[in-house]
Amino acid sequence: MNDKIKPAHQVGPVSAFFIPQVMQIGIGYLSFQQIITKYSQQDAWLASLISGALSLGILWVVLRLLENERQFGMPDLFSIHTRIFGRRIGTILNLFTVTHVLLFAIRSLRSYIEIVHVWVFPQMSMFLFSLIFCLIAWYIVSGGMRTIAGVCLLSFIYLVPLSILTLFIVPHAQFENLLPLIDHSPAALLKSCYELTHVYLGFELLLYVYPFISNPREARKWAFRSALTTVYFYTTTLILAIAYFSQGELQNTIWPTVAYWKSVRFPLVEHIDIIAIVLLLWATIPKVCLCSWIIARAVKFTVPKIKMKYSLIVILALFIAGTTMIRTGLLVKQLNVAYTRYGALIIYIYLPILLFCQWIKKKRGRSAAS
Amino acid sequence: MFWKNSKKKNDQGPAQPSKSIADLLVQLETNPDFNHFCHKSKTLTCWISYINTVVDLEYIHRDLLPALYSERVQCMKDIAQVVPIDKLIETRDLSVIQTSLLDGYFMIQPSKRSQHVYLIPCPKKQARQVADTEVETSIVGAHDSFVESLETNINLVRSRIPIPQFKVEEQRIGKLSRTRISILYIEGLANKANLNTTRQRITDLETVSVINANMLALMIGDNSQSFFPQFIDTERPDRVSGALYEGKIAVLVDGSPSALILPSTIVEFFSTIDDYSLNWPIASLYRLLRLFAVAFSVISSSLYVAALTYHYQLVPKDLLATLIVSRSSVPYDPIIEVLLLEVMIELLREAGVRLPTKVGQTIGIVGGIVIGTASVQAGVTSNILLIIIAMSALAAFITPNYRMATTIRLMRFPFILAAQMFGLIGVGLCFMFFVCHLLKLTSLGRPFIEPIYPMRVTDLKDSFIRLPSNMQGQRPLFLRTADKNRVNLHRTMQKKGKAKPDIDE
Repeated sequence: MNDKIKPAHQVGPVSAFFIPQVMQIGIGYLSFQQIITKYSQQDAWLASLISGALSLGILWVVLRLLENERQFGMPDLFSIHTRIFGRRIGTILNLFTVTHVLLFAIRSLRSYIEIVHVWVFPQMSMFLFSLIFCLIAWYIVSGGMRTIAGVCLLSFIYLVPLSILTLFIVPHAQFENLLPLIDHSPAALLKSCYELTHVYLGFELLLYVYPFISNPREARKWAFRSALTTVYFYTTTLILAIAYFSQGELQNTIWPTVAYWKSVRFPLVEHIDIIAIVLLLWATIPKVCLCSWIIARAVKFTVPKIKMKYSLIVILALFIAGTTMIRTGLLVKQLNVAYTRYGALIIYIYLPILLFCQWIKKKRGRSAAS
Repeated sequence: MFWKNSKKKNDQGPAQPSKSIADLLVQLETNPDFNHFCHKSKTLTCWISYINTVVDLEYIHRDLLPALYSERVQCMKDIAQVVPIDKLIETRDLSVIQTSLLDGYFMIQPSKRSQHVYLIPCPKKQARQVADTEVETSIVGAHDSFVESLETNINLVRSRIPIPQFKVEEQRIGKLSRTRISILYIEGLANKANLNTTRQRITDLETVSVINANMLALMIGDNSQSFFPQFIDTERPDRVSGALYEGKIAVLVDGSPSALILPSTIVEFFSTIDDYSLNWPIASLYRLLRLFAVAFSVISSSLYVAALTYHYQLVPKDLLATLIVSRSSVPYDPIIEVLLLEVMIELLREAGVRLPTKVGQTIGIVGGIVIGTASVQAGVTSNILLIIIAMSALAAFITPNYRMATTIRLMRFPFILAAQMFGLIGVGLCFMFFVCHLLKLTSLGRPFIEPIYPMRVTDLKDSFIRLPSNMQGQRPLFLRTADKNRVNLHRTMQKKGKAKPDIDE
């Protein structure tokens, strides 16, 4: 693989805003309120803030890792692994992190199909849908990083109306539901935080995309802005959910956000929820595209002979197989749990350790040199 | 072996160029309109040849021949001094001789088979008068449009850009046709890379002939498989000159009444010259109206199919009652109904275009009113659908560019089929495919949906909306022009800085 990315294939620094943002906001947005209020009821918003702050911290770790690596060549996770741990262990670690990316893609696609099954077409063919979806993804990814970044940007634009839709329930919200303020033990809050991990996951994909972003100094600022926007977005939605539903009802509503949308009415159309779910296609496509691109790059990094355009087809076939194998909604839930655990392990434990290893390596290198 | 032989055979086809001037003359002499004769005066003997259907005979008989016959011409060298001409080409190059002769040059040879010839330009161009615009009409703008003659077209543009930086480059393309093509740009504004790409694409073209500019656009486009036209074609000289002032490049083809503007972005296909004659809020509203019309035209019939096949809960209660009443007598599924009407409208459109104007109008009236009403009364289609389809047909032709309008007309069919397959999700998937296709599309290597991706907020000032001219101080960023500013921004800022008087001061 070439050491330098050609400027013609790079994307502007603002992409560091859109890409992590779009990766973070997705299907989790529809249902996260129920899961986290289980442990910390009306104080869940605090958990969201804590979790958001943690995500900012991890983002700092991610950017630190990448910036330290820049002087040694390509600033991405694959190069970090192979440089610090050698070719063999590095490849195993690459496999370990890329498995999470694979899980991320399959989980996004399968959760979307689940939503469609529940709210729109109970009998839609999973295979046919994922086939068409992956064909579109193939078409996009074959255009390279620039096209993927464009899809991320458009996805952000198309999701703005959805966040505006949420405002329609503000008049019906009962903000006294938030009281009593801060009435939970730190342990309960932390448990909620852990449950929230999966909605904040996604920004760590910067670890793979970073070399393709020009002007890293600006890009870093945009990345932090993106993380802050996500925190704002989730926290406000959560506060609205707590204010709109009673605690008892919230515990029994699997998709609270869809329930908001159902309550919105326009003179010309009813059931905004269906339209919103169609719009959520745009939340899913960038994830599938970017993940398949990352995995294809990983394959090329390990075996440079395999061209990305060929491995991409296999990867997308894998996505289709993965999604169609998960048959029931219960399995989807289990997949989400596994994904959250795996993700939490990577971002909260593995990445700080990796930064530490990088530091040690640097120290050793320096002492060996002197 | 076989292919080698066949290749050789191909090379010996009729397109074989003549080897010497004798061959050329023999080849041409079989034509009845070729004149080749010996001219003998007292002082000079020479051979004259020209093709009398492409030369200006009046000029030859009135000016050239009398001068040649005069006694002041002693030898070939005297021709330049005596004959009243502005240009005399002296050459031995056979290819120059051939193209010149065929372009209407007057050839003089000292002897019958002499390689050394003198060429005098006297071409006659049959061209239509500059007439009113027909495709892109304008209410308050200029009314002249391009014609089929390259000289007239360049004249129309040059009279609007009277500066020495305005450059016209001429090339000939087409293996057989050798059609003249002009690349127009303003030096110091047009981006060099764009210019080189244009030149290269035109010179690299492997083609037999180029008949018109749109054909050229398809051949030099970035993606020839795409539904979407990638370069604007226009018949308006004012639009071309406006684009040149912006830093774009225009390409004119001899014999074609339209010019290509390169590079273009998709929003430019929806702007007209009239937008710039109205004040900015009105112009912006009309642009937004056009974009809404396009969206409506593309997805309205597919939404009908989706809503009535799968998602009737989307339709409000009161409207649903009307829909049920109007559809109660229709025996088919919504998809059959929609396809029937859509195909009918397509037929009407094609029939109206291909027939002479007067008959075409009659066809439109007969088709639109009689068949429409009859099909509703017969219970083949519902009348609500008739309204939707008619409106979407109308909306498609709001697009000022004809090629874009046809794209938009045809784009609805994949949407209708997708809506039948997956309902609204299908419409969403189809929309996503088209948007991603646009995202990948480039025009002369520049992104096609430019102000949106890559996001250039400053370029939005003249895209979906048109901001007032005092905010248009900079040329579009995506053209990467050599001179970014249209006006001296420093001076305008200084003027703005002046204290404005208070009320009643």
